[in-house]
Order: sequence, then structure tokens, then C-alpha cells
Amino acid sequence: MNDRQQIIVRVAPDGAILAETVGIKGDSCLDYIELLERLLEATTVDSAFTAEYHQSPTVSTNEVNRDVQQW
Amino acid sequence: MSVEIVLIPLAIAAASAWKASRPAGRSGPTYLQVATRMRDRSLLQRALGDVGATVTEHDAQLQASWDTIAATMTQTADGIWTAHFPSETQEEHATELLRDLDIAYARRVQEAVVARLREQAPSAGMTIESERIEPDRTVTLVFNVARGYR
Repeated sequence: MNDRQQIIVRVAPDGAILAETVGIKGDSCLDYIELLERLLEATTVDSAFTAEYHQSPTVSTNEVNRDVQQW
Repeated sequence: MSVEIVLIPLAIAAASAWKASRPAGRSGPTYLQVATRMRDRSLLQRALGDVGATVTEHDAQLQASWDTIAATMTQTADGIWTAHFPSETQEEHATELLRDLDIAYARRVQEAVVARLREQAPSAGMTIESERIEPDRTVTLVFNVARGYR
């Protein structure tokens, strides 16, 4: 199973930006809206949840330990 | 996927591009005015250069000159640039120029957004996995996100 977390950003020649999160489940994907607005100096004009939003985040024991060590 | 977002850079106003009007003075229309959706002064200056204009700065205004026409660019209170042409200017000519300018400006915005993203993403725990230019000139960047970033 591919559990990578990614953000795909498409910047069109007319200046419009489409961003999507991949592998970021549940509410944590919402954190990236504000982050992207800041990074891109842009305002969100539309957004939509996809199927993955409704899935619960799954975190393995190893990942929890790694996160604790990292932070 | 979990969320899709459509964003508009702050450099672009949400208003529709190039709307021409002729404000009436006491003795008739004094000039041709064309509203734009452009906000960023430096990107506008570069875009004017892209469409062949010579640009000079006069305080808050920009004077753009082509071979046969000139325009004064001023900024409204909400930061949007407006072009002012002499009253004898044909509306079609002015809107054609502004249409080309709008396209050039949007490409400058695209460049600026991509450059900013490349520069700022690492500080947000994002590393570029791939970058490509699509046939329609859309730039697609794929970032890996550091797990646990908030």
C-alpha cells in the first residue's frame, strides 16, 4: 500500500492554481489549505473533499514512535 | 486524494479582465479607460515589456508606450491597475492590447508562483518529487510531505 503523503500543485498559464492532497486522510488535510494559501500568496476560491477525506487516518506504532522522536 | 483546492494568486483580482469605459467629462468623454485584473506593479512592468511597451515610472503611475499608442496605468484604491488611453483611441485597439497584456501578466504570475513555491516549500516540510510542463503550459509540481507536519 502506498502511504506516502503528497501535495500536487498545478499552476496554469492563466495564473489559476489547482492543488490536491494525496494520502492525507481525515481533517489533517485541511491544515494544508492555509499552508498553501501562505506558500502561494493566494486565496482559496473553491474546495472539495474527495473520498479519502472520509477515511480515518491510520498510524502504525512505528510511525507514532518516529513522530515522537522527531518532534 | 483528500481535498482539492482552487486558488487565485493575490496578484490577480477576482474581477473580470479588461472592461472598457469612457468616463464623461463636462465636454464629453475625456479618455478611454480599461479596467484590468492586475494588482502587482513589478509583474505588470515585466508584462508590459513582454508585449513590446516601453515603460516609464511617474510616482504611482506607469506610462506605457508603443509605436502608435500610449497608456497611463494607475492603481485604484483596492490595488487594481487601470489603463487610460487618449479619448481618440479605438476601443477595439485598446482592448486587444489589454488582452495581450493580460495573457503576458498571467504568465508572469505563473512564473512567480512556481518560483515562490520552489523556494518556500522546503520550510513547510515539502520536498519536490517531480516537476513537469504540460502541453497546455500548466506547470505541475508533486511534493512529498513530511509526515507529522502541521
